[in-house]
Order: sequence, then structure tokens, then C-alpha cells
Amino acid sequence: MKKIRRLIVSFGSVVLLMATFTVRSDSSLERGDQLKAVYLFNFTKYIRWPDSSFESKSEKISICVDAPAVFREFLGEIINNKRVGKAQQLLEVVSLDVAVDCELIYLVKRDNKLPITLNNSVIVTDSGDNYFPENEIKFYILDKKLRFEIDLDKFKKKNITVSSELLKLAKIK
Amino acid sequence: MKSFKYIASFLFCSQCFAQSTPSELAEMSFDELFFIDSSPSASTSPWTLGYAYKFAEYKGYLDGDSSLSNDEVLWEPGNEPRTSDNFPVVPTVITQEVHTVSLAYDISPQWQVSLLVPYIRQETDHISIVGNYETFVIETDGLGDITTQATYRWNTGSSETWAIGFGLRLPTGSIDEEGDTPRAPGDQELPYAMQLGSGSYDFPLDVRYKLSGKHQITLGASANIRTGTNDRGYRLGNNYKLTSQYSTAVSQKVDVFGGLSLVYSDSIHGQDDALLIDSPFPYPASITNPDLYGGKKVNLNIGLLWEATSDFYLKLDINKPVYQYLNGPQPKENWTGAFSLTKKL
Repeated sequence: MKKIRRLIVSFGSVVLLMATFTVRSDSSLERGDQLKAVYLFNFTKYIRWPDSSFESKSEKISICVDAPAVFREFLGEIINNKRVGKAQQLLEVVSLDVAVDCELIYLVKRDNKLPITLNNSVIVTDSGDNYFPENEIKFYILDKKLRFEIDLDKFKKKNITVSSELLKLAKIK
Repeated sequence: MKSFKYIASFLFCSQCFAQSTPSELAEMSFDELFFIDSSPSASTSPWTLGYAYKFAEYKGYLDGDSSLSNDEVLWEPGNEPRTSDNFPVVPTVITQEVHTVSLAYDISPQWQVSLLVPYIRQETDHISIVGNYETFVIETDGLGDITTQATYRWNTGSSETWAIGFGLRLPTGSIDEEGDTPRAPGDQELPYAMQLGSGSYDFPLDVRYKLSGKHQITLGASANIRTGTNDRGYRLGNNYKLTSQYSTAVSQKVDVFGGLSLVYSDSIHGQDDALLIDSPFPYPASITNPDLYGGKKVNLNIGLLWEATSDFYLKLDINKPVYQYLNGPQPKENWTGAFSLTKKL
């Protein structure tokens, strides 16, 4: 009986301890879009652009986003002053409308007319219809979980390197 | 105290997606992100409450893979000699019902800890050669062994998931259950099969591989490793299991599945001397002999999983042994059925 009482007390303590985890993210962005923003940031860690993409090592890696402002703001908070790669380059989020040069482009609209050249850009498109066939990465849903598909040939054509760690988790087209 | 500090720091690793700030989300790896439900209506709570009901029936006897009738196992004085394979008391039908309440907490997308509390009810019908006990029923019920466990999941591809689970099963179930048997007047200690717990600290372990997609394949290996000797002088046998399962969606909300499992169980080590009678053949029933437990089984199972809402699941599972090789004479498993409800809080 003593043993059971001890167990109940221990379990109660653990439940109280766990109940302190109630702080929620106050972002109004839907969970799926939050996830995509985190994925975009993670992509920059595993992709290496050719040196010719950058005028200097200190140049930033630009993630150009064709998505509502709330998405850009959320992604901005994710990448906040973070550096990636061997050269420890800073990341920045730019609206595609005003972008000049982009390393990563995220497209969600169907009528995208890209205002920039695509030579060194990795294009990521949202899940759904394959409306932008030039994409290198495409999000899709598997069992309610977000996944991504990589077109390796397109990466090779642009001389952009993808880490084997990223390929391991991707569906290869 | 040291272990409490460790557990507390482990729990405060606030990597759960729903509760994290953008800067914490930035620290999440693909491995963690891969486990997060991306549907807008999915619950963001790290808590999951579950209830499971399991029914098992044992009927008839096997010695190895040879069937024996109840009459063959029952010793009939005058007609046949007493041997180690016949008994004055024979359980004819054993039914077991287990109600389990579980509470799980996602520490991170990859780590989950859970607590399982079972309530067990067992009933055994007997026949015997003892006067006034020609037929009798014994029942036991109460709390079973509580299990705490941790599960870690990781990905090896866009659709391949692995999970490893390890736990501790506490000896909270009684091993002192008594009932009125023909062994003596009044209540006596009941056989191993009628007890509610193992009386020992047990360590459940399992490894699972899942290939997701339209056609889902799950492969698993699990074991229940028991340690020490309980207060009554015995230790139940270890269990080992290999499972394979195929499932596919038949509608947007319903998956059907079927599978095959191989189970091996050890016999009991040591014995409870209170179950013996003073005779050249000290075991009054097969279930009082520790050597007549365990064996090998091949089970076939079918079932369905219904996603009632994005955070409420119902599962039905029917399991039927298609081959059994038991250390016998031993009551054979007839079938088991399980029903479970899972709700994200």
C-alpha cells in the first residue's frame, strides 16, 4: 500500500511539473506555414552555392519570399541574425517583389513571374499543384507530415551542391 | 535526488513545436520537424490520453503442438496412473480482461514519455476429481504492473521512420492473490496465471521500423526482460516478439491492417512453494507447474484504425494464434481482441 501511495505522489509531482509547459507561440501563422518557414531556414544549412554567387564572402544569403507579410515576418524571426555555412554568411529575408539577387526563392502563388535571374537560385515551391516546373525543391504532405522532394539534376545544372544529409531525408525526383 | 534532477532537466527541454518561440524552432532539426503534424486542425498539445481494453481467452490444451482434451489432462484415479502430464485439477477456460489507461507526454517531436496503468480481471473455470469441487470458478481482479516508458523516433528517409522504446515495469500488481481451491479448506495462494503482477522489476524494450506511404509497412522487435526473484521465490519468463504489419487506407478516415507476429516466452524460473501439495506429484494443476509456462506462437492479426477527428483515434485489433508450440500440457491461447481510444488533449 505504501508503495502505491509513493507512486501516486511521484506521478502527481511529474504531472504538476509537466503542466508548467503551457507557453504557446503567439504567431498567427498556421502550423503548416510555420513548419515551411523552419524548413526554409534549415535548407540554407545544407545547400552550398558556388562562390561566384557572392561578390564577397561577407555577402548575405538571401531568402526571397513570395508569400504574405506574416510569413516573411515569421521567417525573419526564425533566421534572426543567424549565420550558416563554412563562410558563416548572414541570412536575410527579402520580399520577392523587391529582390535583386536570391539564393533561395520560396513561391506560393500560382502566377509567379520572377523578377530576377535564376542562375544561382534554388526555387522552393509550396505543396499542391506543380505549377512552377523549374523548382528544385517541392514541399508535399505524407501522412499529415511535411516532406520535400528534390530535383537533383536541376541542382547539378546550376552547380549548387546539396549535402548528403539533406538528400537522405528527401524524396529524390 | 540526482536522478530526479536529471529527469527534471530532461523534461524542461522545451522543444515541442506547439510551445516554442521562433528562435527555439530555428534550433529544430529535420529529424524533429519530420514528426510534426502539419494539418491546421491538429492538436498542439503535448499530452495524449489513451484507454485500451484487451480480452484474451485460453481454452483447450497443447503439449508441444499436440492438442489434448480436458479429459486427457484430467487424472482419473483407477483408470490411469498419475503422471507428470495429468492432474487432479484442470482449468478449462481462462479469460483475462485488461483495462489500461495511458498518459503520454511529447518532450520533443522525437522523445515521448508515457505512463500505463492497467486494471486486470481474470476468471478461470475448472473441473476436478475432488469432492465438492467437481466444477468451480476462481476470479481475481485489481491493479496490474504499472509501466513507465520513453520512446525515441528518428528518420532515415522521407518516408522511413525508426523508433526505439525502453521502459520500466513496476511490481505494483499483486502476487498474493488467494482463492478457494480444492488444495485445502478456505482460501489458498493462487497459481501464477491468476496473479495480477510479476512481482519483479521488468524492462520492456522495443524497436520499430515504419515505411510510410499509400501502403504502409511496419516491422518490430520487442522484449520484456524480467529481473531478480520476487517475494514468492520465482521470476516469470522473459518474452520476445517479432512483428510485421501491412496497412492501407480504405477511406480518408479509415486504415485497415493485418500482420503476423512470432512470440517466444520462457518458462517460469523458481517456484512458489505454497502452490505445491505433499505428494510424489506435487503439482495439483498444470498452471501450478512453473515449467509448464512459455513456448512459441505465430499470431495473425487484423484490425482497423479510425481517425474520428484529427486528434481522436479508435483502433480495433483481433489476434488469433495460427501455430503454437507450448511447454505443456498448457492451456492454449484461443484468441485475443483489443480496442483502444487515443485522444490528444
